[in-house]
Amino acid sequence: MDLEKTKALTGRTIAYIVLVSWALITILPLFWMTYSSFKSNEELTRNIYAFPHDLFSNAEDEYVVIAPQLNVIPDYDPETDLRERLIIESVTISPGRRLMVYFLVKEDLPPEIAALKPGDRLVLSDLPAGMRRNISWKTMIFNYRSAITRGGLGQKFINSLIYAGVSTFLINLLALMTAFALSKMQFRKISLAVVGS
Amino acid sequence: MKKQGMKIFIAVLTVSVFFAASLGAQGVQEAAGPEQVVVKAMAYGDNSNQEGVNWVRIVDSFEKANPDIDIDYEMLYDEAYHQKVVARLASGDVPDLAYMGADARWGLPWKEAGQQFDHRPFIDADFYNLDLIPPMGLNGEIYEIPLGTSNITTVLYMNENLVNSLGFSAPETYEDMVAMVPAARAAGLEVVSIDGADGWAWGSCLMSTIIARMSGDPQWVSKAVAGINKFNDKAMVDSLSFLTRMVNDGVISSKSVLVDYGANISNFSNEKALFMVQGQWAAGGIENPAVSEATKMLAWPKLPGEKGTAGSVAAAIQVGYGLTKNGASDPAVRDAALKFIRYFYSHEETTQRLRDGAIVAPILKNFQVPDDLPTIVKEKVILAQSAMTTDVIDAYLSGAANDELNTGMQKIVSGQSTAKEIADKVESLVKR
Amino acid sequence: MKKRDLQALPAYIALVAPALIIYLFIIAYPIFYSVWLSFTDFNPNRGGSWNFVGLLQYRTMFTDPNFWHALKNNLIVVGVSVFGQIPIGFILAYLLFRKMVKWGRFFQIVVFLPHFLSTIVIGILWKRMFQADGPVSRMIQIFSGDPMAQFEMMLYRETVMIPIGFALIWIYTGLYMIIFLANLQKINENLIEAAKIDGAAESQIFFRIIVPMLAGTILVSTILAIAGSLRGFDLIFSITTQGLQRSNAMVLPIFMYQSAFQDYTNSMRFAYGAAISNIIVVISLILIAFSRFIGRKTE
Repeated sequence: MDLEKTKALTGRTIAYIVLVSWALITILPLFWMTYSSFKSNEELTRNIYAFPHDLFSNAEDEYVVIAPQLNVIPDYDPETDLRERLIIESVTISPGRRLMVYFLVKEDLPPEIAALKPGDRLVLSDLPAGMRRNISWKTMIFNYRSAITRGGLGQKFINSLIYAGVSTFLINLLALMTAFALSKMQFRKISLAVVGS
Repeated sequence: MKKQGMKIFIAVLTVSVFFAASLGAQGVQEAAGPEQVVVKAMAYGDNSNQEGVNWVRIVDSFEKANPDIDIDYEMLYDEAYHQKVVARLASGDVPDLAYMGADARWGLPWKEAGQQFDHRPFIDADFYNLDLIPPMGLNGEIYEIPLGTSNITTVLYMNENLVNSLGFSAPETYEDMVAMVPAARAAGLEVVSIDGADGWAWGSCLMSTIIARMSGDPQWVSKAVAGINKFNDKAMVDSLSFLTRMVNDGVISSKSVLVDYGANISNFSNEKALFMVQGQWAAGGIENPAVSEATKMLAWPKLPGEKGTAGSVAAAIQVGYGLTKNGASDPAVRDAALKFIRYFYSHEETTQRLRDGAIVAPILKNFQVPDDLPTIVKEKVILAQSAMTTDVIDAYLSGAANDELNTGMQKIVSGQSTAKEIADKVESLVKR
Repeated sequence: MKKRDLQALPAYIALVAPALIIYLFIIAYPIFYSVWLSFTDFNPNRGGSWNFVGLLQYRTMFTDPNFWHALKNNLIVVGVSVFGQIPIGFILAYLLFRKMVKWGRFFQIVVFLPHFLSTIVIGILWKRMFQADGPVSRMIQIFSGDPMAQFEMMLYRETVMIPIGFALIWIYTGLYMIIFLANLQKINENLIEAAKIDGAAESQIFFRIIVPMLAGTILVSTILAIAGSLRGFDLIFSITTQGLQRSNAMVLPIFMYQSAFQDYTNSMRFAYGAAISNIIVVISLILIAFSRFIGRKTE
């Protein structure tokens, strides 16, 4: 093998090492952040590297029936929708904080579940299939749902868009106007004063 | 033709620029409507904690019940709140209603801006229990309605199950805690967890108690700020040296300087520590129901070298919502804000706050304490009723001296400074 | 002046005035205001009264050890930006430009990725990475076999700027890489081919052709980096917790913020904060003038 080729080969190897390691340094923390966003608070403390588990394998999740209280905020309009609800809260994910609460319409429930009293427990797999799938799905994206509903992410995103859009538009417009006047119109002395140099 | 086109173009551009600029201001004015009373408020909380979630809920239901009042609030938490208070006061954009206190940390900016408003003429003695609202000004003024009775900052939370499982029981003395160290280590547990990455935790939640015990004087801190004691007196140096001893004994780990507020509570909640140091408000943050059920809220046990105030806890006047002078100057706004405060402090809401573990005890008259309170809340009431209370450091000390004390304790725990150095430095920075 | 010129004057004013007025209000007015403020003891909370105090604020600042500590840290940040982000960005851009690897496009996107995130998010991410028993500490524990080992650099004044510098490089390298790559792609390929035919080695191509042709871009990037790192507040604020970490990693903008917004015991704190921010402006002007001077010299 001649010298030229070995040189080129080492060059390429070094290039790969540099770029691949830099890419890893960039991606790994972001990857960790991304998959951690699918974990519950407790899981994050328990094992910091483990992949998400609790929110996904939720078929046997336990729920407790709770009585309506001030801090249990309905996700429907109680004034127009008068159907009776069974309120359940997760006992594993943010228990007692009224964050993972579901309002199950009693008429859609089997009678033995609809008859449960506050304090009674049930397991997700006891519920009718439709409800079960719905809750299961909502559990998986629990953190994202929280960010959007409680965190008001939608409004914040719109604010960002307005801010970015208006500022980009105005900056470009004003810069174009000024640049055109300063460079193409014949008021050199005033222009000098405006630019200041 | 060409020239005219350009003129029109320029005119349109200019108009549109000014139109865009004025659009924001107009939008704000139109939203309020003519006959509504607008109360500008600053609320404390964030989107996921109970304070914040409850605030949003209470405002929504209040506005529904009172369509003629608009609570126009800005909700912030922690440092961001304090920063925004200073900025709004300095720029003259004073809120009518805000979360405030009367001490060095929560009251100074309002005091400096001359916005503290004496609520006494407007407090309904049939609704609030005036014996439970402490005087805040020199002449007994009341500047805010506290969320609850005095706010205990130096609670020692104990996971009783975990302590029992290692063959121990509640410690009577500091030495009892030292005795738990080997067993806790062997089980891979911390003895005392503290959110040591936050400077304030050392001052508010730990040192406030140690200094009272070591000096035997419940008012040592306020006397030191007044100049009667010095921050490099023996009592303070001894108290600071005690931190080193706690680290050497293994009661507090030196790595706690890397643990922040959320991680601390979640360590305790996930059974990684036997004890936790925090204020009473953290009781509601323990997520694991089994741990919450097994938690005892204690005063620190007898410390070696303790000179008095045995079994005491440090406590400050609870913060709460109050009107500013600005808000009180317009009777319509004042009455609307008072109406909201009354709604906010209603028996139902206060019961909820008590249940959530956010307050110690209500300040309302004829308050019915529900008998189905969570265990941890009952614990808190017992502690509040039994323990003697002492000064909280940052209720009196502020600015550079307080910052130096807090970072100084972090330096002592991580082995970068001695107690004497820190004590001298703090004393040199105190402005009396 | 000719009549024709005068006719165009209204148009000229209409074009320049909006930007000029906005500039005067948002940039020029605060600068003059803050210069005035720094020579007074004005505190808006105390009503309208104020006195001239001369250089008092500046004297307080120069005798405060925290100021010098913050300045030192700030210069480290400048150093990291100029001698870390720019060279690494340049090297990565060069590797991609010479097509030394496949999937160049992929690497380009990945390296630029952090720049899409808000600095606060990145600050919180790295704060999590560095916390007790956090991902970095765990890594150390796994490799050292000591289950108690912790990542402690954030605790010491001497080392705190290492992780922070790393995070800064992590964010901004991609930006400079994109800037350099865009400018490299403007270089005529034939020039490099011609040099190769003439027998130039790879290193000669790099130092004799590429670097000189990009001198202007390097200079502009340097100025951007200096200006950016002197007013950089968000990352360091959010990556540290309030207390020892932040006092260790104090930079001038944070020092200004704490002095002006948190030190209630200083009734002149707003004026003091203004003095600090004026110094930040002066220092960045000096550094930028210096880098332009170096730039001219090397041309």
